[in-house]
Formats: sequence, C-alpha cells, structure tokens
Amino acid sequence: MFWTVFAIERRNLLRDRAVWAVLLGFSILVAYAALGGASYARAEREQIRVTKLEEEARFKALRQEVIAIQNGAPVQHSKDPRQPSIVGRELGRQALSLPESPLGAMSVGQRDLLPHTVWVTTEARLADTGQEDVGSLSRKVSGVFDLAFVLVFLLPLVVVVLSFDLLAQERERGTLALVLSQPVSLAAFVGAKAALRGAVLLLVLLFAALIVPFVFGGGLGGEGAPGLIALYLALLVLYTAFWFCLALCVNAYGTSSAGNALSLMSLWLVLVVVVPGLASVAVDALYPSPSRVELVNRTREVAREVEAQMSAVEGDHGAPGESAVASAQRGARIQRELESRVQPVLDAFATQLARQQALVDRLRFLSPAIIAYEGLNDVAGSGVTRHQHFSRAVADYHTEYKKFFFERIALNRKLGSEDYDHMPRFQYREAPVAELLQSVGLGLLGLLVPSLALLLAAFAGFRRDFTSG
Amino acid sequence: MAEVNPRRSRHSMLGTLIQKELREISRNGSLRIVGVAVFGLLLVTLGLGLREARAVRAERYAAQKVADGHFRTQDDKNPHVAAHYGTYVFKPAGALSFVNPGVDAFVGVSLKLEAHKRNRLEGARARDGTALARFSRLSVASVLELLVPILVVAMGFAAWTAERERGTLRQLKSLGVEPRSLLVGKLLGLLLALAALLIPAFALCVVGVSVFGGALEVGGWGRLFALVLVYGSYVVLWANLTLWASARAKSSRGALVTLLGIWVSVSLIVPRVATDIAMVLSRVPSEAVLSARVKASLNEGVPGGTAREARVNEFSEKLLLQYGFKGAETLMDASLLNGLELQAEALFENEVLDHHYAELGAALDRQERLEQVLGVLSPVIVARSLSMALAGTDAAHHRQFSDRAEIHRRALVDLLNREFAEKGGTRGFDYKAGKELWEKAPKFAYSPPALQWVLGRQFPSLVLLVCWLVVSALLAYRAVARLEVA
Repeated sequence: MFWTVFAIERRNLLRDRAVWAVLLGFSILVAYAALGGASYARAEREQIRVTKLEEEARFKALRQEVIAIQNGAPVQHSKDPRQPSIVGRELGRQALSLPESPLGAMSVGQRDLLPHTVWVTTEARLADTGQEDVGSLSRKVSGVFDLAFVLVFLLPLVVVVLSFDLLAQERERGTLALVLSQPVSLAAFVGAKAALRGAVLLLVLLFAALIVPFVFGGGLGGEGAPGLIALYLALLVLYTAFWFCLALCVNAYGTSSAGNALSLMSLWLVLVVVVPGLASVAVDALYPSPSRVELVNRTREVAREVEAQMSAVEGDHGAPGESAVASAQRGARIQRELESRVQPVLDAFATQLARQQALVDRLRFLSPAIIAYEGLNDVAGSGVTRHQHFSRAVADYHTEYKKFFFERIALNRKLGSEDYDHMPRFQYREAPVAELLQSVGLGLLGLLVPSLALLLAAFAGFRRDFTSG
Repeated sequence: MAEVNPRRSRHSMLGTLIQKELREISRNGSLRIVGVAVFGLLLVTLGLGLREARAVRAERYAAQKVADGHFRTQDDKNPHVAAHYGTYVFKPAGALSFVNPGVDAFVGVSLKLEAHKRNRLEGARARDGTALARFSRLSVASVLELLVPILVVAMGFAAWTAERERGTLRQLKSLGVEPRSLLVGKLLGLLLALAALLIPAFALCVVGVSVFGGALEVGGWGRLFALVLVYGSYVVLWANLTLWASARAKSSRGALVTLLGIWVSVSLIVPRVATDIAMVLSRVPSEAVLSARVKASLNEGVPGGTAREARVNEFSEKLLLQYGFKGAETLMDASLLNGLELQAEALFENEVLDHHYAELGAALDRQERLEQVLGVLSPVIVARSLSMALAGTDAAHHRQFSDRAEIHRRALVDLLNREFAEKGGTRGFDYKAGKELWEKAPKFAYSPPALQWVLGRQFPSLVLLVCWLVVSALLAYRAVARLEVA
C-alpha cells in the first residue's frame, strides 16, 4: 500500500507546477552558489600561485646575484644578497600559504577574513597580517553566497514548502476521510508522501550539490577527497532528514495548513537565526577576545623599553658610528627580545579563540543549523580549527627560519649560493583526519538523534483521530 | 430624530474597524508569543549593543590617550626618526553602533601614522572570532530588518482572506462599507499593534542611551531620529505588502506562502546576489593590488607622470624658492638640506598616494552607489544601507575616518620634517629634538560627519525608500479596489 500511495503521490507531485517552480528555483540557487564558491576558490588559488611565482623568481635572482658577486660583480650594500641580516629581514621573505582543501569551493567560511598567505621574515610577527582579501567589504559582512549558505539557510525552507501541508489540505478539502477509508494507515500515507518529497529533493540536491560544482571546476579532487565527500553527503542527507521529521511533527500536531506554515517558519527562524545568534552572544560573553587595541599599545611599550636601539632598526637612516655587522646583530637580539615579550599576549588570542571554538562545538547541539554549518566548514577546510593548525605550522616554521638567519648573523657568516639551496622551506601538513572525523561524526549524531525523536513523536501524533477537523 | 453627522460617523466607523483589527490580533495566542519574542529580542540586542558600544568607547578613548602619551614622552631623537617612530590613532565606534554594528567588526580599528607610508587599519575583530559569530549577527537592526517583517506578515496575511473565508467580507460590502476605508482600518490596526511593541522598545532605547550616558556623540540624536523614520517607513511598507498579498490571494494559505516567499527572496537571496552584482559590475582593486601599485609608483612615479627623481627635484626646487634659498644651496646647513629633501620626498609620496587613493575612492563610490541602486530589488537592501549609514558604521564612514587620519599624518610628518630643516643647523641627522617638539604635535580629533553628509551619500536609498513606500501603498490600494468578495 505504501508503494501505491507513493506512486499516486508521485503523479500528483509531478503535475504540481508550484513544486517544479520551487525545485527549479532552488536548483538555480544551488548552481549559482556552486559557481560563486568555485570562483572564490579560483581567485584564491590564483593569488597563491602568483605569490609563489614571485617568490621563486626572487630566489632564483638572488642566487644568481650571489654567484655573480662571487665572480666579481659590484655589490649594492643595502641590498647585498649575501648579508644574512638583509636577506632575512627583507629580500628572502617567505610567503606561507594555506593550500585549498579538496572541498574548498563548498564553503568559504572564515577564509575571506583570515589570511590564506602570511609573510615570514626575521622580524617578530606581532600581528596576524597577511593576504586574505578576495572580494568587497559588503560581501565580507553578508558572507559569500556559497553552498554552505544555500544548504544551511535555504534548504530547510524548501523542505518546509514541500511538506507543510501533507495532511491539512486533504483534511480541509475533505479528501482525507476518503483516503483513509482505503486499507492504508495514516502513518503509511503520510510516510509515503514525505518519503517521496525527500527522495525528489535529494535527487535534485545530489545533482546540484555534487555535479554542478564539479562542472564548474570547484575541485573535488585531491588527497582525501572521497572521504570528505562522503562526510559532506552524510551531513546533507541528515540535515534534510531533520527538517522533514520536524515538518512531519508539525503536520501531526498542527491544525491548518496556514498554521503549519507559520509554525514551521517560526521554527526555522528560531533554529537558523535566533539560536545561533544567541549562542554566539554567549560565546562572546563567556570568552571575550582580548583587545587588539590594547595589544598595539602593549607592543609599543615593550618596543619602547628598548627604544634606544629601536630607532636604528625602525628608521631607514641608521645609527651613526656603528658597523653594519654590529647593528645587524643587535637588531636580531632586539627582535628576539621583542618577540619573547609580546608572544604571551599573542598566545592569549589563540587560546581564547580555541576556547570559543570548543564552546561552539558544544553549543552546536542546540541547533541543527549550527551543526550543519560547522560541519560543512570543517569538511571544506574553511573553519577556525584548520586555520589555527596553519597558524601553529607558521609559528614553527618562523622559528626555523629565524634560527637559520640569526645563526649566520651571530657568526657574521655571509650567505653563499649553497645556503640558498638549504634555506628552510615551508611544507604545510594537514591535521590528522581522525580529529575531523570525530568532530563531524559527533555532529552527524547530533542531527540523527533529534530527527529520530521527532519522527517518533510524529507517528505518535498520527495515531490520533485525524479525519475530523 | 437626531441628525447624524456623516463625517463623525465615518470617523467612528474607522475607530470600530481599527478596534476590531486590534482585538483580533491581540486575541491570537500564537501572535502574542511571536510578538513577545520579538520584543524580548529587541531588548536583548539593545542591551548588548549599548554595553558593547560603551566598552568600545572606553577602550578606544583610553588607548588613544596612551598612544598620545607614548608620542609625547618619547626620548630625544631626530625629528625624522620620530616621524618613523610615528603614532597610533584608534577609530571610535560609530555614532549609533549599538543599533547597527555594520561593517565595524570587519574593518581594522588601529592605524599607525608614520613617515613615507599610508598604512591600513589593523585589528578587525571578526578575525578573532569563530565562524558562528558571522553566521547570525543579532542586533537591533537585524531584528528590525528581518524579524519584524515576519511579525507583520504573521499579523496580516489573513487580513482579507479570512474575512472572505468567513463570509464577513460580503456582509461588510452589503452594509456599504467602502473597501478603501476597510483598507485604512486594517492598515492602521496593524500599525497600531506594531507600534504597541516598537514604541516601548524605542522609549527604552532613549532611556538606555540617556542613562548609560553619552553613548551618543554630537549629532547622534538627529541620526537616531532619522533612523526611526527609516524603520517606521520600512514597517509601513511591509504592512502594505502584506495587505496587498492578502487581498490578491485566493486563500490564507496562498497569501502566507506568497509573503514568506517574498520575505525569503528579498531578505536572504537578493541582498547577497546584489552584492555580487555590484562587485562584478564595479571592480575595485584588492588591498594587495593597491599596495603593489603604490609601491611601484613610489619607485617610478605615478603612471604617465614624471619619474620619481625628477618629480622630487621639482618639489625641492619649489621648496627652495619658498624658503628663499634658491641659488644659495651651497650656503645651506646639512639639516636644512636633509629636511628639505625629506619634505620634497613626502610631497612626492603624498602625490602618489593621492593618485591611487582617489582612484580607489572613486571605484568604491561607484560600487557603493550601485549597491544602493540595487535596493530597487529589495527593501531590505534600502533599509540596511540607510541604517548602517545613519549608525555611522558603513564603509563610507570607515573611509572617511581613514582619510581624516591621513590628513593628520601628513600634518604631523610635515611638522617634524620642517622642524628638522629649520632647527637642525649643521648637525644633520645628528640633530635631536625633545619633549618641546613632541608636545607641539597636533592632536588627532575625529568627529563623525554631519547628518547632511550621510543623507547626501544615501540619496539613492532615500529615493528608493519613498518609492517602495508609495508603490506598496498603491499595490495594496489597487488590490483592495478589485477585491472579490467570494
């Protein structure tokens, strides 16, 4: 009987122009979002590529210049490529980039705010500056129109449109009693209707959310991609299922189709807008970020304590009566001192952000929308956790880089062409997959459990007498 | 028999109509819940906004004092080295940032002013937060722009359809009640119900501002008043749209679905798409590109202009003439030569910066104007643009601050270079100035632009707000005039 209802409903649904319009509109939005995410990722890739090319060309030129000088070419002292203090501080700066993750086009997340590329020199890194701007300020404020936005915000609304009156209208028209005079249970009848809609929507989604990005060149290749795609699909299916179960529940206890629509819309507002908003307020209140404004003054005070030396390092005009070597060695000492004293303050930012994220990881269970959003960001490598991993890798590399140059500055050893070959280079390694699996897996559970609870509640509701208005 | 004054009877009828609407709205249990929830959210966001604005104000004020202190109490050094040492300015929060935080979290707040460079503002707060903080940014503005329209829709979607479904519309018509007066009654009923919610919230806002003291800068009250007008019009236009859809729809269900569809499109989809359109149609160079261009021009001169060396020399000549040393260079002290050279360099650098920032500013202006014009597609865009501008938290205010700071930077650097030239004598870079000079440095005083400046920039949005208001009213009026009773 279930399949009979399924078949009849399929015919009805396919004849409904409004349903087609909604599905078509949604597919267009998904395609647009996929295109937007892919073009964002492309712009980012291009920026990283250009930076890398510049760096390679610069190093090649420096190396050749060293060889030329060794063979007797004239030297410009302020740009001597053999001088470790000059190369370390300026000429040999390294661009460290966070490579795009295989599913990077799916969700931009925090990527448009956090630098994808940072520069490292022997100078202390007192701020997390780097290159991040892809797009306008208004887009940063509203967020990129990517798949994560469409799926988390708009997908539930499509579910609402498809299922807010599975029963109410039949009852309002008086056809429900007729249907139930057939050998079919109410649960099977509604279940078949919901299952059909779910199947149609998932078909559209799978097409739009997987094939479209692929066609637009949004990646999907690369190491670990199949596993990530599996997680992405699991999130998608369970998130959709949650909203269908919620709609079933509202259908089971609702009175009129307009009332159902209003209830579902309110639930959407609560779960997608209000709860995440309040959760974010709670995160801010419990773990407020340290002040960047105070950091500026703090840094300056520390710097000021060694100011006598600073004026020589900061200004371009040098201190009189001091050899270049001594000045470089003192500069290196100052940078080291400065960094060791400011580092604890900088660490406080990272620690607090990690605490915030840990709280978000717990609070996400308050709303499936947060679970889905955080999950999609994690899968796409656009979340805070991955960026913090990158920042730690940058810090490790920075230590290595400084060690290389400061050793040579201290020994007053000039760089030869072979030093250019052995200079430490940055290699980004992803965090272990297990962490991602655990986080997203818990999220999936956080979608599954409430869905099942809603489903049970819905079927309990359908056992009531439904035919009378 | 007493004569009935027709004027008076029409008035009392309107009163009856309004009363009936109000009674229906207030008796609806779920509407009460939604209403209380929206009111509660308004209060929470208002409280949080005020607290945040106060904290930011205190923080920036204190920081500015410390930074000024750093500059004034620095050791004796050459004035130009002091110009390298520089100083910091901190961007104060927007006049009404507690209503609408706008772009504030996404732009930097601290700016280093130093010789040779126009730095960018650093320390955007959004970068120190989680993705959740961006996912849903609750503020007074977002509640008014997104949630209040839903409340209006919930209150009014069945305004006409329910009358028809119950058969009361036919009755009313048979009594000779004009649809037009019915419309006015329904609209006023709806608006009064909303006013019962929004006016107390506004009153609390005024009390909050007064009690917490000085959260409003000079001119803030004018901006607040304008903001109330904007949101008032915004609510009215949603009420119009709701009554229009209700009059056009065949059933309550249809009216609701249509209205929610409109809401989703104009609040969630269109604003983001409009941002993309503006970005594509009006390209703005990224900061990386801009700084690369500035760097190139500083080395070689403005594209199409004189080369660096020649241009700096031109400025030097001018300065020599100005100081009256033309032709007597050999008689000049080392400091005077150095100081003049630095001044000439600074003039050249300023010219390069002006060139590129004027280009950037023009591109951004174009983009922002385009974004405003796209408000033709959605009233949410119009309200948001006006609200951010009046709150002093839009991109234009941010740029205005940055431009003011640049003017200050130039004055400071110029003062130090001039001092070097005039007082250094034969000592050249060995010359050191002290506290006396640092005390003389101008103080950076920033005041937000006047209301006229805001309204001038927001002219397209203002026009569009009026258009939306008029068109939505006309739509409702026409739909009601053609209303079918059964």
